[in-house]
Parts: sequence; C-alpha cells; structure tokens
Amino acid sequence: MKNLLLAMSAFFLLAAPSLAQNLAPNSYNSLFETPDILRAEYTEIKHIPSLTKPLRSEGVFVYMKDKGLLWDMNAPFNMQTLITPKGLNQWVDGKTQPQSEAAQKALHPILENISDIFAGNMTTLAYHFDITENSNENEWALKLIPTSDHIKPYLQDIKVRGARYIHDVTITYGKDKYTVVTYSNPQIGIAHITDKEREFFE
Amino acid sequence: MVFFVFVGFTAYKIQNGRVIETNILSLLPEENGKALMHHTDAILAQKMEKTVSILIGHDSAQLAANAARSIKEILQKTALFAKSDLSLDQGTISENIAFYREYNHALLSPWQIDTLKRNDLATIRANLIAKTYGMSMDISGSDITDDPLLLFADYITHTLGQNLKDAQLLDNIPVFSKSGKHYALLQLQLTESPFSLGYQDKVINALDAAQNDIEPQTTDIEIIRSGFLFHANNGAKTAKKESSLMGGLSLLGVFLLMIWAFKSIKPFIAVALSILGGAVTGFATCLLFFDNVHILTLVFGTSLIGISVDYALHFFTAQGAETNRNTSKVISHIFPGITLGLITSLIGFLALCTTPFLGLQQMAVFCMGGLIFVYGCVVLIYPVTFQNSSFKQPGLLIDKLARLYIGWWSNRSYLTIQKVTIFLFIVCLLALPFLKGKDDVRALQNLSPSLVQNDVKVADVLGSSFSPQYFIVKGANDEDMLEHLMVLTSHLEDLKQGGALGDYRAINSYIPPQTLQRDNAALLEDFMQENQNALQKLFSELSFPEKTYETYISTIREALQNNKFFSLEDLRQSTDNPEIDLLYGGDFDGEKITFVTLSKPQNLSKLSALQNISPNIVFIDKVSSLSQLLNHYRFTATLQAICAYGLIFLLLVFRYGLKLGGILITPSILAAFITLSLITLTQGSYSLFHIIALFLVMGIGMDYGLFIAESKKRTNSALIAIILSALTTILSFGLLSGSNTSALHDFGVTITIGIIITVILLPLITITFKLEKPRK
Repeated sequence: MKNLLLAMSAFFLLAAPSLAQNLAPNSYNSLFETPDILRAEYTEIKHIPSLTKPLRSEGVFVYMKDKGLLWDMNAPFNMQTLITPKGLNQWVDGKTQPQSEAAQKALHPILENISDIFAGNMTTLAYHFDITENSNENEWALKLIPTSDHIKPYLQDIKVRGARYIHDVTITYGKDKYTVVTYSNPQIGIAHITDKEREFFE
Repeated sequence: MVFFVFVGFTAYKIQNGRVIETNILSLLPEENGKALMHHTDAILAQKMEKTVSILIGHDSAQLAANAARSIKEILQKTALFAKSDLSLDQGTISENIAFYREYNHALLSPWQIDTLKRNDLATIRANLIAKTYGMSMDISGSDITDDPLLLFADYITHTLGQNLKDAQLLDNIPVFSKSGKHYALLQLQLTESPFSLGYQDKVINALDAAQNDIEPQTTDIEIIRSGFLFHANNGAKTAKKESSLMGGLSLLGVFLLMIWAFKSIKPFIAVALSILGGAVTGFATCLLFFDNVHILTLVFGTSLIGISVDYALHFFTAQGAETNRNTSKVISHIFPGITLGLITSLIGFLALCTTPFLGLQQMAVFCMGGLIFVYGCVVLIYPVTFQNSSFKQPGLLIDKLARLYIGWWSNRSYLTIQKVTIFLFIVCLLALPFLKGKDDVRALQNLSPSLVQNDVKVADVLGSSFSPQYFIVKGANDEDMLEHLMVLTSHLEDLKQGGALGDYRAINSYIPPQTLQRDNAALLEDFMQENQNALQKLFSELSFPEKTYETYISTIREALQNNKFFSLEDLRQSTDNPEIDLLYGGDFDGEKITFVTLSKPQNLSKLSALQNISPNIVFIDKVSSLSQLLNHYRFTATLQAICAYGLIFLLLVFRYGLKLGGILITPSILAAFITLSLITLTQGSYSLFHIIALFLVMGIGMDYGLFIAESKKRTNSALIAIILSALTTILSFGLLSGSNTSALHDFGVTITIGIIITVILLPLITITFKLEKPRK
C-alpha cells in the first residue's frame, strides 16, 4: 500500500504539469498551450527537513502524446523515469530498476489515470482535488487541494504556475517538506527530441 | 396422548432455537480419523461463509466508489453486519505500516535478501538514488535515519500490496479495474449464520433496499453479490418450493385417487389427518434425537405420504369388502400383513440409520416415527371411528386389470414362471460387473447458475478464487508453524513459477519467522560493515544527516543483541489484517495451525506430494476426500442392503418356510437388481443414494408381498389395495424424482422404478401362494 501512496504522490507530481497543459482546452479557457510533443529542461529541488541540504537535480522532460512521459535526469546522477501505457520504468546509470509485481499492480490504475489526464480527461483529477485559479495579466496559477481523505495526510497541495507554457510546479507534502520543479526552454515538435530520448518510447 | 406430548415437545423446541437446518454440507458424513480436516474445515467455513462480497461496477471508478460508500452507510444502520468493510482501509494500512516500521531492520523482501546476499552494492545504490531523486516523494526524516537504504518501502509494497492486489483506494473503498470497467468492493461480515432462514431474508431485504436506493442515483451501475448466504438462501427457497409443490401435488393425487376409489371423502380425510399427524410425529421424533431437522428431511418426509397411506388403504379396501361393517374383523384380517409390513419397513429404515449421513439418519427417523403413528391410527383409531361406516369396494377398473394381469400369469406354467425368474436373476448377475458407481460429491450440490456466475465474476475481478484444495501447516508453537510454512511456500513458489499453481495465500507473507527476521538483520549488518566506506560516501552525496551510517548500524546491532523481533501474537494484537484472521487457524490438539489457500491449482498430484516434505504439512483435497468417502459408503451401503435383505429373508423363512419365504422376497430382490441395471443403463452410473433408496424399495416391496401372503382368501382385495398404494407411492416418489437436488432425484427415480417392477413381479407371489397353502 505504501507504494500505492508513493505512486499517488507521483501521480500528482506528474499530473500537475500535465494538468496545466490539459486544463486549457477544457475548464480553464486556454491558459497555456497543449502541444502533442513537448521537450523542456527542468530543475527539481526537493526540500526534506532532515537532509543537510535540499536535493537538487536537473535534466530534460519529454512529453509525447499517446506514448508517454520521460524525465531524463543528468545531474547529480544519471537517471531516467519513463511512464508509458505499459507502466513505469526507471534506470539508474543505465541499469533497470526492478519493479515488483505488487508495485506494478499498485501503480497500474494510477498510471492509467495519468494517461487520462494527458488525454484531456480532467474528470479524473477533479475527483481527487479542489482546483482553484489565481491568475493575473502576466501569468496563470492553479492550486490543487486534495479532497480525498486518504490523500490528505500525504499531500497538502499542488501549485502550478505558467504563462504560454507551464513554468513551475510546487508540491507541498507537509511543513517544510516540498518539491519545486521548474521548467524552462520549452521546445515543441518531434524535431527537438533526440534519438536517445526517442528510443525510450520505442 | 403420546401424540400431544410430541406436539408440545416440538413446539417447545421450535420456540427455543433454530430447528430447521438448511446447510447441504451437514448432510455429508464425517470422516473417521480426519479430525484435523474437520476442524480446519469448520474454521474455514465459519470464516468464509460469514463473508458477503458486493461489487459495484461502473465506468467511473469514483462513481463506483461513491455508490459503494452509500450502500455501506445504509447497511451500517441495519446492525445486520459485524463489519461493513473487511478489506484494508487507509487507517488500517497506516497502523500496519507503523507496526512494521518498528521492525524494518528485520524485514526484507525476497529480492532484497538476494541482493544483499550477493553483496551487490551497485544495485542497492541505484535503488537508493531512484527512491531519493525519483518518485518516492514522501521520504521523511524517520525513513532516512531508520532505514537509510530505503528498503522498507519495497518490503511494505510486497507485503500489503498482496492484500490490495489490483485495487486502488478511493475514499477508503478498494476499487478494482477489469476490462475497462471499475468495480468498488464491499466486503461484509455477517453477525449470524448464513444458513439462518430469517437472517437470510433480513440481509437480502437490506441489500435490496440499499440497491434500490442507489440505482436511481447512479445510472448504468452494475451490482454483483457473492457469498454463501445467497446460495444457502437459494437452496432453502428451492427446497421449500419443492416441498410445498411435491407435498401439495402428492396430496392432491391421493385425494383424487381415494375419491375415485371409495366414492367418499371420509377415507381421504382420515388419511390426510393420519399423514399430518405422522409428519408432526416424524418431525418431533427427529427433534428428540437431533438438535435440528434438515430441510431436505422435510422434503423427503412429504414422500412419507406415499408409504404410510398403504396401511389406511388396506383398511378401507378390506372394510369395503366386509359386508357386516365389523371393523374388528377388518383389523384382524389386515393386522398380520400391515404389522409384518411395518416391521420390514422399520428394518429398512433402521439400516438407513446406520449410514453415517446425518441427513439420511434424520429421514429414516422421520419416516419411522411417521409410519408408527399412521400404523397406530389404522390399528387403534380407525376401527373405532369407522365402526359403522361402509365403503364401496374400490376400483372396478383396477379390479379388472388386476384379474386380467394375474390371469395372464396364471396361464403360464409354474415351471415357465420359475424359468423366467431364474433367467432374470442370471441377467441381473451378469449385469453386476457393468454397474458403475458415481461418487462425485459436487453432484450433491444444486447451485444456481446465476449465483455461480456471480461468484466467478467476483473471483475474476478480485483476481482470486479459492479452490477446494488447501494446505494445513502445523507447529508446536507459532514460530515452529511459521518455519514449516516457509518451507512449504518456497516449494509453492516454484510450482507457481512452473505453472502448476495459479497462486496461493499464506500467513508468512505478513510475518517472517523470528529466525528469518534475525537472519535478515544479520545480513544487513554484514552488508553495512562490508561496504562501510562506499555507503558513508553515498549517504553524504545524498545529503543524508551526519552519522546516518553509525546510527543505523547501531540500531541493527541493538536489535540483534536485544532480540528485537516480533511474533505472530505481537502482530495480531497490534494490527488488524483480515487475511491473517482468515489464514490463522489457532490451536488444535496442542499445536498451532495455519492454512494455505490455493487458487487455480493445475497439478494436484504435485501439490499433494508436498505433504511428504514434513508431517507438519497436510494437503487437503476436500472434493476428492469426500468423493472417496461416498465411494466407501456406497460399498458399505450395498453390503448393508444385502444384510437387510438377508435379515428379512430369515424372518420370512421363520414364518413361511424356505420356499415361500424365498418367493416372497424374490420380487423385491429382482426389483432392486433390475432397477439398478436400468439406472446404470439410462444414467450411466449409480450413486450411494440409489443404493439407499433400494432399502425403501425393499421395505415397500416386502409390504406388498406380505399383504398378499397374509390376505388368505382375500387376495383380490389385497391386490387392489396394493395397486392403489403403489399408485400413491409412484405418485409421491415420481414427484420427488423431479427434484433439483441430486440426492432426492436419485431417491425418487429409484423408488419409482423399483415399485413399478415390484408390482409387475407381484403375481409371482399370488400364484405361488395359491398353489401352496401358507402356514398360519
């Protein structure tokens, strides 16, 4: 079950940027663009109180409609996280991380939901969150507060901000415990996807 | 007087407890020397039969969960359920995680044990990086200091993930996905036995009400129910329906027959009251010997009508033939015949009592009580009640037919009849080796196809189905039991991988034996020591607090020194896990026991062979075991039937001599053989219940023979009474053969065929007794 909760957290992490991309044509009146293929650089800073300093990582995020999502982290470690309709895969230093049968089973419905979100099915996300908008002339901002009792203890809120494209996502788990993912240099279209990145989806 | 005492006793018993049993399994006999199997069966049945599963299906997982929650809230108000959710909810999961976290140094998944044993630092490092930087977003301070290798999350997923299988929790409701549809699961625990008729109705009404409340609110909702209660309810309803239908039709048939035969309603009223009294007496007699009466006993009891009416018919036929209406004379004429008939019937039923089937014992006691009552009515009450009544000699048509048939037989030479009889005996003896037994216990059950379909659907969605085979693992104490269990599950895992087994569930998924917990801690300590520098460097790179390494290894060492490991008792007291409750069997004969349930076993011989590993591992194949038992008792019952025939033959020889005694029993024996051959020919095999029914064929057939033998000059009147009673018997048991319950169907078919053949062979006796004068 723990893994299910972890996966739920992952779901929200992943859901946030995807949500931002998909809210536009549905509920939130084109807040930002929703391309079929998106490549962006990202920086993630994870704040955990007991760590001596925040964990900082950076890399490339790739979204390919109907195929999946890839986080290709290149610092401080070489790690890739791929979500496809078939499930979740992770590599560290090129080595596949084993996913137990139980973990795969637990992740399956979550991953399905993520696919729904990327397909523009906002109904799924609305089941779990109260979504509020706080935009101004220069940027838009969404706040997602979990409504399900079993999510609340693990997740305080998700904040998503952006302009033409998503800019950053902040996931707050509890007091002083949060992650900020900042996206930059967004590139649209297959031409920007490297062969190595494309291989992950094939 | 005796009757009213019985009625009072019955009323008292009914008022003081559940006297009607509906559980079909209670019909089955207990196996000698298999006390452990009976014990575990009873525990498992009690645990499983009290669970009701409701699946609420919808295209939207959330709407399915919402509907399930609403149904749960409605049902919680009824107080019909001990628990309205038997699956792990979020609170229980958190409790379980908190308990296990305390012992994380002793808990490793099989993959982790393998990796640590290989001293595979690269894999441990990659796992740690993936969890820290990857998707494990809820890493807390305590995770890092207590479990810096972050192994616990995998263990807990492996352990508790098995309980949730494919489910996601939506508002604490497990929701399964199957073929694009979502199914919310509600598992309810019943407060009373699912076989309690009143309780069944209350539960079903409550579920119907909740369903009716929800369905209009959520369109396209699919609700599937599964559980013993629904089968028990269906079985009880079918039995009730059959009982009232067969009883009613049988009574109607007897009514029409008697009106037609005697042109008076009085005989029918007398017979109906006698039978009613007989049924009450039979029921009361059963309650005298048993705590409750099976509903099938009542269904069978309706067939009592067909037998007990014989005595009354003989009385009225003889009374019709009596010109001076002297009932004392009538009784003196029929008394020897019906008394001997009663004795032979009682012998047949007593033989039934010696079978180990509780249900059949009840049926025999029911019939004996009822027969004695009706016999008492005919001998003691009828002569007084009908002292001055006159009835027409019944059935001109029957009389003509009887004469014609006997005439046909009379025209044959006695030698020819003997030859035909011997020929029939030889044919029957030759047929004997080809008679094939049918002992599949599953044939006893009459399950509703739609309910079975529901069970299959629920098992399919939940991804689990229990097979009737399972393992019992014993141990001197919980630890010893877990040790043996670990040995068994390692073999089961191999069989699972090899395709010989779909899946299995065992308690050691949730608790390793303490020896393994210690081994795990020692393994971790060794790994930490051997990779001290690399791990310290990695912890630093990951910004883990200083002294993480030192703190962790000292925790492990402390646990090893202070034996900080948990027992099954600790786990059960601190957490709530429905699967542990299901699989733990507690104490038996000074030992601790647990079950290993199996799903989709493909190779039973391989599974069975696993019990050779240790005497503490026992493989239970309930279906095979009970089928073997049925086979054994079919053989025993055949011997008992032969003995009963032998006993009756001795009785007949004592009264009539060897030749006449032999002739008297011949139709019954031939009827039994021919019936068995015909059943095997038409149905392919014969069951224990066919054999037991032959006891009744024998009893009734002997009645007919004795009525003729004792009729002296009134053979024709006796023959008419026999034909009338045969018609009522055929009517009753013919109706019984229409039962959906295999056992009752077998009874009905056997007796119907048996009685027809007996009547056909009856002239054998009439002719012989005309040729040779019977002894007084």
